[in-house]
Amino acid sequence: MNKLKIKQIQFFVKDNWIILLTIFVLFIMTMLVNYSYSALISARIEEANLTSEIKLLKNRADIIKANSQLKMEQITIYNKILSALIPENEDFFTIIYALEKISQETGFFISNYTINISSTKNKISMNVAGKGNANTFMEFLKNYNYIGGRLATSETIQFSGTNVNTQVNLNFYNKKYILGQELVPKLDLKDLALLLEIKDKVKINFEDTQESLGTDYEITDNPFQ
Amino acid sequence: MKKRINLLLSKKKVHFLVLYGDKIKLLASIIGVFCFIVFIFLTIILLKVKNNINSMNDKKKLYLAFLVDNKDSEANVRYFKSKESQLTTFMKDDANFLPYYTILKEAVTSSSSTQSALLDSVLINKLRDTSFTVKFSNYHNMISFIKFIESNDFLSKFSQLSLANFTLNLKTLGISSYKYQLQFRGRFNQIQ
Repeated sequence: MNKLKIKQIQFFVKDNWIILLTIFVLFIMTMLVNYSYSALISARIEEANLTSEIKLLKNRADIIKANSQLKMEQITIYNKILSALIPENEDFFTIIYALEKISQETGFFISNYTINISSTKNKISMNVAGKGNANTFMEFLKNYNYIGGRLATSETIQFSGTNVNTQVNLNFYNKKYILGQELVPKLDLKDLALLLEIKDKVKINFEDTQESLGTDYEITDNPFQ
Repeated sequence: MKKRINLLLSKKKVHFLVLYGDKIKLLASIIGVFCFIVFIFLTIILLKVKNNINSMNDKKKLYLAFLVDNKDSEANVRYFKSKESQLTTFMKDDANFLPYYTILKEAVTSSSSTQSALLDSVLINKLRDTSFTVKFSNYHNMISFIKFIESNDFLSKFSQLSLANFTLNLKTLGISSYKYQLQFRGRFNQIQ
């Protein structure tokens, strides 16, 4: 029976080999077309992804080139000023120092301060009581934002030309810098003008204070000696 | 001549291929040629796209190298912009008292002599809402001040301004005492 079937197939192939070959070639061609089409589609997707990626990279590079015309040392100094004005984490000592500095630089004597319960994680709100004459209070109003080395704002100010023993509400801020995925911003002269203005007002010494610690001291293995 | 019957062949199957064999070959050849042309066309496009991808990869490498070389300056600029934006946002909490106070001070001094009018108290908040009191020692100075503040030049500094209170103090003594008191409430326009 099996032999009979094999014979049948042999006759069939012998009689129709051209048709079978044609169908086989057609099948191969269809497979090739299918393969090349799929390859082209995935290549097109890759090309599109690369195009958008290169566009982003080009923008970043162009902005860096444009920004590089500005002095990077200047930006570094401005960053130090900004991180002092708005630190990453709250530090009450710098607030106390800032109040003393404001008092010292403006002549408006800050006698007392209390922290408001309305303070939040990123904003410390304080009631500051001060004494001085009209001129020192005006000096305070001109300079309180930056002169202490911490950004200070006041939401409401009441000034009486006759009574200068006054209370002012001051806010101090902190906020973490979060690295975003957005494009590198392009700096313009307006940005720098603002910082130049602030730099003139902020009186902080940004010189590198990290002096190397001397190691010429006696070392002992036993801490109880 | 003897007739032979091939009993091994299935008549029906062979019959179909014998009948349509030529047509099948023709159709398959046409489709095959078409497929071949399409394949060649697709391959040419594919090669072009691959070429483009290669050149884009080279470009990408160049940009990445440039960005790696300049990562410090990029990080600096990012930090600068972020902190500057924080600063601008936080500064919106500030009443920005001084320039608005100066407007009022100048209004009082330009409308009357400094001794006869006094800007007594000024309150300004971060929304630029204001309340201020001006005292006058004589009636004429008060009238000239009212005329001044009704001028378009002065009113252009406010989005709204109204007289909230007028007080006449009859118990004042001496020349320097301030008899008349005007209290205003309003809102400043944003100073550019």
